[in-house]
Amino acid sequence: MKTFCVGLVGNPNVGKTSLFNALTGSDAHVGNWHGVTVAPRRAKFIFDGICVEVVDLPGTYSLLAYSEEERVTADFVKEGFCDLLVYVGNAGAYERGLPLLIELAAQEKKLFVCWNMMDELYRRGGEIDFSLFYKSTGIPAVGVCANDKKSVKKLQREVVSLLCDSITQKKEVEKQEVLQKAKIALVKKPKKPNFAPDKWLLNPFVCLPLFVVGLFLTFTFTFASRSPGAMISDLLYRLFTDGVGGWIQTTKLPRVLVGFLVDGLCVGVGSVLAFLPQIALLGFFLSMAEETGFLSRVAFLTDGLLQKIGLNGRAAFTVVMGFGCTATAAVTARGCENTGQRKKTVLLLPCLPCSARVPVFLTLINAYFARGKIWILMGIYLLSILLVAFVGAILHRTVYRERVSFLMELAPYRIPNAKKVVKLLLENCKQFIIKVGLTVVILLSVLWFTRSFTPNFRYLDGEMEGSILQVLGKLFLPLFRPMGVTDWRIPVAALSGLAAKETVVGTLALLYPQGLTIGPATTAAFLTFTVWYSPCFAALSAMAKEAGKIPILVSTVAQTAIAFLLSYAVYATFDHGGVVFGALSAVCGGMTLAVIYRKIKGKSGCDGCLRACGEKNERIQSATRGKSR
Amino acid sequence: MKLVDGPKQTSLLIAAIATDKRIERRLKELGIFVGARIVLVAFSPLKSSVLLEIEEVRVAVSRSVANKIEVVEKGQ
Repeated sequence: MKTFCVGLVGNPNVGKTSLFNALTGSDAHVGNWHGVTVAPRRAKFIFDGICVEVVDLPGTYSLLAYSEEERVTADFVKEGFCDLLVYVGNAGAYERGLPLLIELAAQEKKLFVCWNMMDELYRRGGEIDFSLFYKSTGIPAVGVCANDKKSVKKLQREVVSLLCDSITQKKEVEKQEVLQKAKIALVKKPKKPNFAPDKWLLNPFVCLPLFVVGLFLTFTFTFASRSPGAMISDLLYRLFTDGVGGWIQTTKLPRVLVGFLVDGLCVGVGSVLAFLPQIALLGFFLSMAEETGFLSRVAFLTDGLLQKIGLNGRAAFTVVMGFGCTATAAVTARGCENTGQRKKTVLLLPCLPCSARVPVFLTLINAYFARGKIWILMGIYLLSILLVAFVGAILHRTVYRERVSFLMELAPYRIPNAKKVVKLLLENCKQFIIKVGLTVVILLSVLWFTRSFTPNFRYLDGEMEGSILQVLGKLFLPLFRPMGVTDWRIPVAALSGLAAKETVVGTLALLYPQGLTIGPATTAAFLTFTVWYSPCFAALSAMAKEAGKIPILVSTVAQTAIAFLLSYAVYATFDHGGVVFGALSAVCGGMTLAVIYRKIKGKSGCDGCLRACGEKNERIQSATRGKSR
Repeated sequence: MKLVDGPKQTSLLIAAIATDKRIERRLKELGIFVGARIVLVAFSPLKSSVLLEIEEVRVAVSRSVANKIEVVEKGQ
């Protein structure tokens, strides 16, 4: 069967990926902000026996690229092979899309126009005459709504018929002429979109308290003891351990196999999967921020703070995504204007706790500090944001000093439809289950094996003394001793987190069948360590691809060293001398960091600083001259 | 007057843009060019950027760029 290739090209945030998903049945990530797609994505559909490969390209305003992602699209349009270019435009912003359409019309490729979001255009009272558009420009066009199956079928039919049609297209390539002619097709101009919420959301006195309240409500709804998230979580855990595990124990399987299935998989996987509702809910709230258009406002609101560390509002997308998954967030950094900005943004990501770390936090907090759970979690997130600011400032003053202008179109406000909301929730669950099903199961199997056998492969049957894992754990124990850890199982749990952070929970369940018994001081120190130690291998690999291997290696070593030092300080605060010692070490630490910061600042020197220093020196010199006279 | 000194929620006409070619091109793509009508909607916290309304879209522009855009009030 012959396969045709079709490229989807258009401005950012016009629904190209939504259309790609609808055409091919894929489930690529979509969001109501500019720059969700940063690399081409391919998938196929078959219609009337014809196979069509669709390429979803990053959004661009013109073929003269401004950022790296735009360059990918420009290169594909100019040099890439495809049988048909489908221009996807936002029907609600009809005239804004025409300049790119003119550039595409000038290319020697078959062109088809697809005006997306027709529902939005009709809702705002607009109308496009497609036959008039075709008559005046010579380019066939169709109006679709990516959520509507009928219109997607219509688009598939049109695309296939155009691909099978061997007649050469007679496009009007005279730029101004096409522009004027295409404008006629908009027979009724739509009303302005609703920007009313901006009045409140862009006010710093409203948005900042709203952010804190939003964070608190999200955490309460997701993590509080009697929240829907926690209740389903408890149910899932019991289902795995008491239900499935209990049933396996009643079977007449060999003892070793029962041990592996119950202790290794049911307890381990159950304890990780129990966090499924909470992770899904957290991801859901993040997706809502994307879908409603709020994320674009976050970019605008945080621009001032990000400018202080040499970034701009565009980096806010990557930073917010970093709370979900570091590996995914690293890829979104490709939307940054240049390499320096991209590297700097990627290097900040490990400072943020990804959602995979949340089960670890909850397990450790629930062990000794269940009462203050919400506040501790909020504290972790707010401290992480402060750490991002600090690391960003250091990077800006030392390695990446360049500043880039912030130019970005804000996404319109949209109410997400119920179908999309359910799909997002299910997608979050699916991603989590796949990760647990692959990485966590394999790793827990290895851990169970090394826990249950001695180096000369003697089965220990429930005991861990003399196991392979104990030998390995003891090797790393000295590093954890200043945190009050005297048990080899904690280093093993920390190491397992390098494969996937969720595994730490499974490992703790596997190695502490009676529950965590390391004491509050050590738990607090280990919690601090898990917040800031190295990200998992998948995240490191994605980050190395974007920022280079050496910077990521250096940052990972430095980050893990800082995580160790902080956890030692936390243990010391809890155990030796309490608050006074903690306050003193915090003051000393703060002073040291301030000195380092001033040194770096003095070395780089901004214009203002140099001027001020120059004036000061002049004053001193003139005073000295006066005295000597 | 400079765009950053312009009145908020008033229709303004862009009189001149004095940035480098690359940024000027991007501004044009976003609908900000000499002769275009814009409305200054808001400043970001710390006044690092401005939010402009151009026909049916809203665009955030760095203060450093907004400083290089000259505007006049509509009707002047």
